[in-house]
Amino acid sequence: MLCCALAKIDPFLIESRPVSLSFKQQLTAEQIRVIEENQGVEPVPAVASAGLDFPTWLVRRNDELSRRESLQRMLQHAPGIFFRLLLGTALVAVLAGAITSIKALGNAGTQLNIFWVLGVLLGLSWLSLLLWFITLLLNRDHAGVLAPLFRKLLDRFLPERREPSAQQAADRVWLQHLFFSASGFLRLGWITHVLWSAYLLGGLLGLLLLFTTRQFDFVWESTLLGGDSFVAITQALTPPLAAIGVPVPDANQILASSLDQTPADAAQTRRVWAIFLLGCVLIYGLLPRLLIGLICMLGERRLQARQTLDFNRPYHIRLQREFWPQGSRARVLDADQQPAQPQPSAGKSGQLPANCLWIGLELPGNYALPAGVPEGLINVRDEPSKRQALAVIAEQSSAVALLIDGNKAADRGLQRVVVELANAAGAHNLWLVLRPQPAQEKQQSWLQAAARAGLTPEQVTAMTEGDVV
Amino acid sequence: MSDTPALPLIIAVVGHTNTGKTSLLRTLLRNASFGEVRDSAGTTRHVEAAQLLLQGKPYIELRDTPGLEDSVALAAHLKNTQQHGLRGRACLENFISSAQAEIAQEFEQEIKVLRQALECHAMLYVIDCREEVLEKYREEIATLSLASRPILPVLNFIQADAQHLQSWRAELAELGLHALVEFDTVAFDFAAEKRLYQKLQTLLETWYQPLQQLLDHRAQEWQQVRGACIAQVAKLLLDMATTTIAAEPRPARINELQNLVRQREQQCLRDVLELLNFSSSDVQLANLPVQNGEWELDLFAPETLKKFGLDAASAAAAGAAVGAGVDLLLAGLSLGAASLTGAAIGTAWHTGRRYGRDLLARWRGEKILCVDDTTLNILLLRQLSLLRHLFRRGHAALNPVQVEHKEQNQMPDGWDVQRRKMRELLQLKAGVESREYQRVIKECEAWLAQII
Repeated sequence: MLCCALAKIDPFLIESRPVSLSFKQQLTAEQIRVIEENQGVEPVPAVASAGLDFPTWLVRRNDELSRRESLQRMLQHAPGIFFRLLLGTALVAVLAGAITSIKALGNAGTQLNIFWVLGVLLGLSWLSLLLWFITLLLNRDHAGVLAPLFRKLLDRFLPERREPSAQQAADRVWLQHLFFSASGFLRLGWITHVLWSAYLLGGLLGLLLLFTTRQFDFVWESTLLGGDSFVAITQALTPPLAAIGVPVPDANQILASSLDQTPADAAQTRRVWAIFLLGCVLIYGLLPRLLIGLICMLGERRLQARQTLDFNRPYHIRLQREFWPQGSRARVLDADQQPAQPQPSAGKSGQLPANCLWIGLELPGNYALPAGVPEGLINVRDEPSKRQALAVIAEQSSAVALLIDGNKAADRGLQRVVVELANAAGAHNLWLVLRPQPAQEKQQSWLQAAARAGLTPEQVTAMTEGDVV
Repeated sequence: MSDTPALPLIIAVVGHTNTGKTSLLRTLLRNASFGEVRDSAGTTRHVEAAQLLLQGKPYIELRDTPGLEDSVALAAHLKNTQQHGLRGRACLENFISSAQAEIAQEFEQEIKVLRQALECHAMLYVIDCREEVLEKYREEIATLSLASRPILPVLNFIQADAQHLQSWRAELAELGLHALVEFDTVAFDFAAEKRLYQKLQTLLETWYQPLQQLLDHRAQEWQQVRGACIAQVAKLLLDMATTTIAAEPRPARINELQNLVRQREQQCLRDVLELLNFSSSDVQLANLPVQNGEWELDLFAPETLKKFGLDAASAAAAGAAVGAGVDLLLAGLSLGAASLTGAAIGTAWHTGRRYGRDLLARWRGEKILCVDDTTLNILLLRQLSLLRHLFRRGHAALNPVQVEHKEQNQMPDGWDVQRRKMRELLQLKAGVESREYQRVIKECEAWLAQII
């Protein structure tokens, strides 16, 4: 059974399904590309190419390479700076949030306007969220305030240079893939929301600190609106809080918190209002930010997954050629045993005797005969025509001029014909007439033919197109 | 297991002397340094082999053989052997093993070829179509047929002179060779190479599958290399269309710009040659005439205004957001004044950052130098001509491609649009890393691929 199954497997079937690289693999591949373009391709002996397709091989090679300490350091440089920067700005945001909330409430005395405090704590966040949406629709690459500033900062740390070093080039590739690519705006999006979340967290901590260490009376006041409106507003906000089990102010407590009234259970009402405020910041401030940030992050993943790596770069083709040759080196299977033939040198062309017998040697059909050469000359091109020429030569004793197309080189077959003709006519009596003037190497081949036939170099003459016999 | 083909498939490249056997190998191997090529008889005097690999495995072994030079005399000797009752392969084997020393020396090259004819799985018989059909060629084919292996005639030099093509076809049909392929080793055509492998597939049924894989791979590789060359040219054009340098001090800067353009063109040429496996001796590039252009930012170009409008709006919104924050922190005392101020500051900051330097330069009467349209046009025409030549150049070609500056003739359709898009990048100050830039370069590549 096994044998049958094995026999059915096509031995030449190479996995041909397209291998797609994950975004991380693409990013590493691009970083390694610019590093190697900068400082030369590194040999990785451990990765064999047999049976792999190029993308798979490239990924394995990159994995192998990125294990090397020096390269790992280079690859991690830009992300390291990014994370430190993110951490730094997030800390600043936490501090800013805490300071803002403490400042906003700390100077307010013991009475706090509940809805005004809510406005201060959440309003800014919501307004900026709204603006983020609007600017996202207008121009998604420059959406919001924080993210472009963050990108500027990152740009400062990893600047673009005219002639970058390997490290700088690798950093820029990282930056481009994560921030300037199609998915870049979503990364900036989640950075924005992470920073705002940090800000709100800071605010929350500030509030917690204030509420634990100081005592506030929470009130509401209005000239136009009555108590019912505030009850409605508050109760509209409370369901999510109630759902997570947080005590919420009831209608009586709300009505009793009017500026001109004093609630019966003052301490309890204070605690409920403080928890209500904290819960509101958590549910309506922090949570939406975190949620939108998460959506941005997932969206970024999706867009990144759609990116493909361009293998048409000279670097990839060079790699393929170097580690993945298309052809093996040439090797000689059956060497030339014959010693080099002595090269006869061209002599001074002798004068062609008058009234010679003209014979052609493999003249092509469209060959223009020189003026003075009879039209119907014998053209030696196969055995019968050769026999005919030999018979004519045998019949008479005048010199024989063998007309040859100067575009042809003398192979051994033609050399043999020359030898046979020379034997029939007598070596001193045969002249080779090359027309048109052949190139150096071809002339040499005819001189060799002449030498084999016992002709002197003087018996090889060349004619140019215009020459007349 | 009889239908499992042995790899590599061994193919002997045979033919009369000086018909382009080594050239065929060079072109099939994309290796211009294989063997020795000269326009003379008996250039190759040994048997040399190279393998075509696919994913590290040898698929085809091509064997370059010496030319058959004296097939008529050889045939006479073989006929003697045949009179002893030996036929086909036995006849050739007998001749090789028992030829007298004198004959063995005379026919040393032919014997090398016959040995390969016996060893190989198939033969490519290369024909120089500039030659007439002669008896000696018929003898060659008859002799090679004794090896009882498929013979695929390859008609070479079809571009140079097609006059004998028909008579060759007729002659080969008479000899029973109906599968043949026209393949010019100097004027390369990938479609012809494809046909060559397809014909081999028909002749060598058993190797159908591996040949198909090789063919697919070659096609993919050819696309890749072509694409890479086009990408290089697109990059060059875009790079040159968006390069700017300050105009002062004048003569030195102009020189600098001109040198920059020439250097970039040379660099692009080097890359393209390397991609196609050619060397710098394959191309003679006349010096590029570069003119300098003085370029001023047109602040009122429609594209600029559109982009500017959008950017300013988002900058204003961002500014307003900051302002609104201030408003709230001041407990609304500023009554939204901070929001408005913020929006105004945001717009101004954005405008200043993006266009301030240009406006300042304009106000001071400073100018920026850039590569002008005429130079870009010439650059494009030269690169197009270069790519068109190189894509159809066999690795056996010996005469270099001449790329000269032609008088500015008809520019290809669509170039105006491409050039305008490139120049818009200049106005938008979109850097190499920006998506606008990447988009324009992709469009340019697609356009180039289409017109080449």
